[in-house]
Amino acid sequence: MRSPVGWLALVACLFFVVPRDALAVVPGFTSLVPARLLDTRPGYTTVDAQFAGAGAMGSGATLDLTVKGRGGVPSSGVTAVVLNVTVTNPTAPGYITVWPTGGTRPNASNLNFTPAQTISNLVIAEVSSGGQVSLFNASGSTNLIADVVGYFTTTATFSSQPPARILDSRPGFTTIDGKFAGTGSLAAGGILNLTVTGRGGVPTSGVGAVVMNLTAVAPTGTGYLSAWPSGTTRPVTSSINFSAGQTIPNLVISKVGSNGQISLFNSRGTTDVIADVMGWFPAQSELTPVAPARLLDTRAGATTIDGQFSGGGAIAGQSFVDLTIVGRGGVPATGVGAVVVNVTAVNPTTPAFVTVWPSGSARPNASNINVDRGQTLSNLVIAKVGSNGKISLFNSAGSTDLIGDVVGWFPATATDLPADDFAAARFLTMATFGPTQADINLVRSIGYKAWIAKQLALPASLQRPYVEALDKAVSNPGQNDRMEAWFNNAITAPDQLRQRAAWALSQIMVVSDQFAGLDQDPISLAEYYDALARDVGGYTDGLGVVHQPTYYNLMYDVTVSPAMSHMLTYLRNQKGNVAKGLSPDENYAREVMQLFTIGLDLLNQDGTRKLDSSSNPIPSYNQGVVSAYARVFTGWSYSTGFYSNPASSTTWSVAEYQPLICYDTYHDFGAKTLLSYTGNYGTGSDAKTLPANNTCAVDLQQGLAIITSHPNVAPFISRQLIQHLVTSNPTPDYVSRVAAVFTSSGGDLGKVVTAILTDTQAMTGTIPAQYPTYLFGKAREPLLKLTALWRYYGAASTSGLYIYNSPQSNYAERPQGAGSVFNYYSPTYLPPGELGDTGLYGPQFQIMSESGVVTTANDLTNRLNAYVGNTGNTTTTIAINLSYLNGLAGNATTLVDQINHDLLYGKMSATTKSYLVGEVNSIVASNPLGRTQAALQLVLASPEFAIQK
Amino acid sequence: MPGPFSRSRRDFLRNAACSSLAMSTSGALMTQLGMMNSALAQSCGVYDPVSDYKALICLFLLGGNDSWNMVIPTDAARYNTYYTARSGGGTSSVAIAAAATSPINPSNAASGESYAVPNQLKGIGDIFNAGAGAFVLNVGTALQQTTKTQYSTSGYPLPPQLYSHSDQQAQWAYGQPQQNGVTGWGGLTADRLHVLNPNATVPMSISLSGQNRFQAGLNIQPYTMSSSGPSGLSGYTGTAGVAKMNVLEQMLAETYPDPFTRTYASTMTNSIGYYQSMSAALATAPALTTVFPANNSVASALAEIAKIISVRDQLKVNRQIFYIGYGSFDSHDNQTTDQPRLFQTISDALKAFYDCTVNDLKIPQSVTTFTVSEFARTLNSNGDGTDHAWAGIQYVMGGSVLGGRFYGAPAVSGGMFPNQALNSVDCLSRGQMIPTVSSDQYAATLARWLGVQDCDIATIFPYVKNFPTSNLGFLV
Repeated sequence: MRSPVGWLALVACLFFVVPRDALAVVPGFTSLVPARLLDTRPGYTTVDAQFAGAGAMGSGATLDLTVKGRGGVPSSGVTAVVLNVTVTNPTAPGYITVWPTGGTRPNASNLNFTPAQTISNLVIAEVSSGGQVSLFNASGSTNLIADVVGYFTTTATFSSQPPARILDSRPGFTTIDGKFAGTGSLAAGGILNLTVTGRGGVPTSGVGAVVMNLTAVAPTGTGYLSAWPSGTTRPVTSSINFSAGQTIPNLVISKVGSNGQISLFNSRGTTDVIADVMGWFPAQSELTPVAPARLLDTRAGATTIDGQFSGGGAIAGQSFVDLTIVGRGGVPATGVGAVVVNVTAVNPTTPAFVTVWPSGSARPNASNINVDRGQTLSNLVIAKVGSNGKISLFNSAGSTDLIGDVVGWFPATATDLPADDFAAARFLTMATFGPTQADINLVRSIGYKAWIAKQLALPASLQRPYVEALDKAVSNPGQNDRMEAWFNNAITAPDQLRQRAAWALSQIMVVSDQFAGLDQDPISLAEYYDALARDVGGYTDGLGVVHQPTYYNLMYDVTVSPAMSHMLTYLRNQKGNVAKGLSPDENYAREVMQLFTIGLDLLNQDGTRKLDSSSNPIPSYNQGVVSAYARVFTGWSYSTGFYSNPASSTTWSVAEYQPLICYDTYHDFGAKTLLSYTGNYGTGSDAKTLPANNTCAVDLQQGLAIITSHPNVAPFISRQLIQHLVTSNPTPDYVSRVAAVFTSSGGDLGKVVTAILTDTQAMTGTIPAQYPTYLFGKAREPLLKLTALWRYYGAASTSGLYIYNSPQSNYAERPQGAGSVFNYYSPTYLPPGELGDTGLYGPQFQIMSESGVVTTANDLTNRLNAYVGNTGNTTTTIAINLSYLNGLAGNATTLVDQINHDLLYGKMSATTKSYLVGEVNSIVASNPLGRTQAALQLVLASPEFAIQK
Repeated sequence: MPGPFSRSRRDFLRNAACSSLAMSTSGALMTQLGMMNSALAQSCGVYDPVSDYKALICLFLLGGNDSWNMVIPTDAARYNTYYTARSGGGTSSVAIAAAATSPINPSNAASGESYAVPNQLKGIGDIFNAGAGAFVLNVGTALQQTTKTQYSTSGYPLPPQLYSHSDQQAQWAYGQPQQNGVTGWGGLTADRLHVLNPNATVPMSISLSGQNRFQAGLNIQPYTMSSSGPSGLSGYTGTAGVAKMNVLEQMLAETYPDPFTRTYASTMTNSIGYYQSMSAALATAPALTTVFPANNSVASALAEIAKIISVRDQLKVNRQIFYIGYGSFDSHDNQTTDQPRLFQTISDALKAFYDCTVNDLKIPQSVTTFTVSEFARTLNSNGDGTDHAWAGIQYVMGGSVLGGRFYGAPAVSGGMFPNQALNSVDCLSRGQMIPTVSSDQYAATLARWLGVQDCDIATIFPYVKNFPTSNLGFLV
């Protein structure tokens, strides 16, 4: 029986859940300064003197420990606590089991011990509705200590569950499903690849990390076990340290490999291994698992991942080390609240304990590892990070070496949590291709900013490798492969924010397969899109080179891309020839300024136009600047030769997407007079210039720098990105706030997008009082209606492919398929009628004509017949999962409320709702599918779904 | 049969309540559109009922058509000038070979001048020669008459953002070379002439190519349909479907608090209603005997327009304005490959359509088709194409066209056809032609033919007064 903590696990493979309790505006996970909640030893105390000094627990005794309202744990909303549990002075070999009070005690152990041993293990324990956990002592009597270090709440995406044994190598023993049972002990140097997904309550997909208690049983030597995600290089880290003959557990939180497995390595001797899985984190969760990385190793001659905190020598008694955690081993430099570290004490000189706590605060009355002299012992530690980005590790006595291996981190406690599912879904409508319940849950768990930070930390999901793999296999590459890759990423890519921003950028710096030279070159277009996704926030390339996220770098990548050189025809553009009457091609020179960077007129930083003394706009450039830039953009062609043509319908070449190179022979080496930032091209012009005889490449770099340093770029691009993501008519104060971030960050689009989405205008949908309130909002892009439907209802085909080759027929939008460099619609489109007459922009309305709204509605209607379970489905049918809605369809109001939650983030008007409820009730209740489809069909065609506000 | 959404004439007019929106907006965000629009909205004319039929068809050649390759001077001296200016002779040439042209015989050509069209345009050349087609020469956006000297004089009034696609398209569509505004001269014409369609079941303006500025009016907006016909909602048939349609209609009829939601609702409402009118009328359309060329999107659009004209009585329309956008004509490269294909497409389509107005519709005098393009292109080559320029040539076709001749005004060099030598008195260094007649004169001539009265011409085309005439004379 799964507990409420794992509420997501209840619907492990479904996307549908009822909206969560709107009252729970708390982070999913909160780390605490360790606080002692239990100490049975007479004379010892706890954080509040409760559960203190009651004396050793007897054999078979159960203790119900209250955790709510103690040591920083709130009194409600808590679903699980993270406890470090320690036994001391047990009288017999035994074990401790921890479970939610009131539930059935599971047949499992959290901590094993032998007589007189003092030993600890980390426990993530579900909490009963009364706020208690039970601790059971199997045999003998023992004192028990419990220190709380954190807690999960109802908004957590973490699913905890009773322990389930998924590995027991001992001959004759079994596991929950009989697999990975009796496999025999693991030899020295042996590796066991343990399947964790689809077993013991862990779902088959969508799992980011698992939490399990790993036990080394009767090892023959002194060594350690390492656990790490399968398919990656084995790290030099340990998860459990053991001595010969010792049976010892440790909690392990490990990222799962892409094949659903975790690898286990035994360093020495042979040992049996047991694994009890106790919970899992989804792929995107409050925990960010990292490949294990050693951040601390005090042993002489030892090293760490970056050489810091290595070889400093043993920690003396009553002293501590301040270990820098952030910015190391995959842990980001900012935004970290707590880290998960496996700490090992090596070769202590005397019995002692180790305490870990946030650096900069008082050392608490708590312990993480208890060791005997000469013993090497590990324990998993979840530690809050101090404001200086460090944790402190204290040794109580003698001296001991310490090792710390980081395996994951939790974000800083959010102060910007959505009030409810609706707020999260509304935000995700702006930031992604449509909310999923998993993303709603995550935003509610960690807050908006932490969600954005996690998104930007994800690598860009790419199209080119997808297309390349398909195109290498066939002799005739086609755009269908690229379209498939686009939908695949739009619907399934974890880096939704990058993808959504890239989608916006692809509509600003437009390349299109409707143009000669690109129609047969999907690889070139795919790489172009990938560059946009990568440049949102920057990236590290395959050679480890960090590409700084500046707008200059983006424009450089755009300019040297074969795709753009085809689109705006500067591929093989050559210097002029007076004798032959030839001039360089002006196409890119004009549009790179008009559309991609500065626009036609000089702008204030708030996006409004500057006016001259006669109240006329001031042109940013004139024909002379265009002609001069045409000369800058001369000499560029494929890396395979100026006149080479690597792209063809039958062969394939990396030169199709590799950056162009410059050929001096064809470059215009004359001096050039370029942009004036003040628009003064007459007497006393302050236009920027390029000297004669710059190299071809330097001309391009300096020429682009002059464009991207123009003060117009920040407001011009910020405003358009706001229009794409949030609102069609941003007020000047909004534009100027974003433009300021653009300028200060050098055009870091990750920071710009963050500023856009976290601006109070985006967050609240309200605008300054001097403007009419209806100004806020935008038409949903037609194609994003489809992605919203598909994402929330988990659309997939059994083939795994998303085949939809011609979306333009129904949605008037085709990814990288616009009719011109001016995109499907203009950012300054004034729809005729009410909007245009009052000067309100409505870009998307340019493709929402009478025929457009109908073809879009019709396609969405048709998509509702592609549902999981329809016998007419083929392997490529992209089927949505309507089973959850069908289950609600008996009650019309419940059904409509759920759709309101899923697609309209709760903004459905009471009138619309009453119409829809009436419609649902007009269909017999024995036809739940008919009810669901009717309600969805009407919502998808409705005015309220057409607009996002 | 008309359903609940059948339109009455009043429905074509937007609710006047919208103007209160303009009054309530404020701040730098809003332009002065409201005030300008109120000026444009006033009709000074009185339009008496008509019983005849007239249609204007705008074929917008998007991207900037290199129209100096549409009409080519073929007398030796001037062909040589043309050939040289167009970088003739090498691999970079954008000149049409004399051998690849078909002669046309303008009745007002000066002595010793001869002209031809490229062979791909022979279809429209034949219509020209037959007297039902005319070329308007050297037409471009202009605020007032402009010479090269004046162009080069600082402060001389010029259209804003010459050479920019989006701006020049907007200015051609607008009827004035200004950067602001939302309407087009087709829409402003419909605002005034819709009274001539008192019982119409569809709007006066119909677009076969989606939203466009040309047809945007203040009160009358176009109905957008596709070349394969009007688009109707699916999933709303049968008993259950009708119930759903009732709910959809209820939702669409709601009053929403913001103009975005209202705009979607009204678009969908119009779509449902006009579909019913249009599809019912088209169901009665007689088969056309004219064979329109296949795989030709312009021809498909014109064929659909012919069908609509054939049911004009069912639609109860006396005046119509159609729009087709086609392109890209933005031939920065591969011009010698792309241009012949584009020319062939439009010529084949226009020829078939004209034949259809003669043979099927039998009202060629009631249908005038005209081209528009935002600008012509540089005469010289950029290597394998041409770049943005200014004035060019447009084509007008129909039974009311006084065809077989050129229209325009004398260039500085003397003749109506400008001097094509690069940097001549008529053009800039790359052969960017300075217009001798304005796009507004051209448009005003067309609007007047459809029925717009003089005083409204002056309102719709506020700069046309700066030119000698608002009627270039190519239509009767």
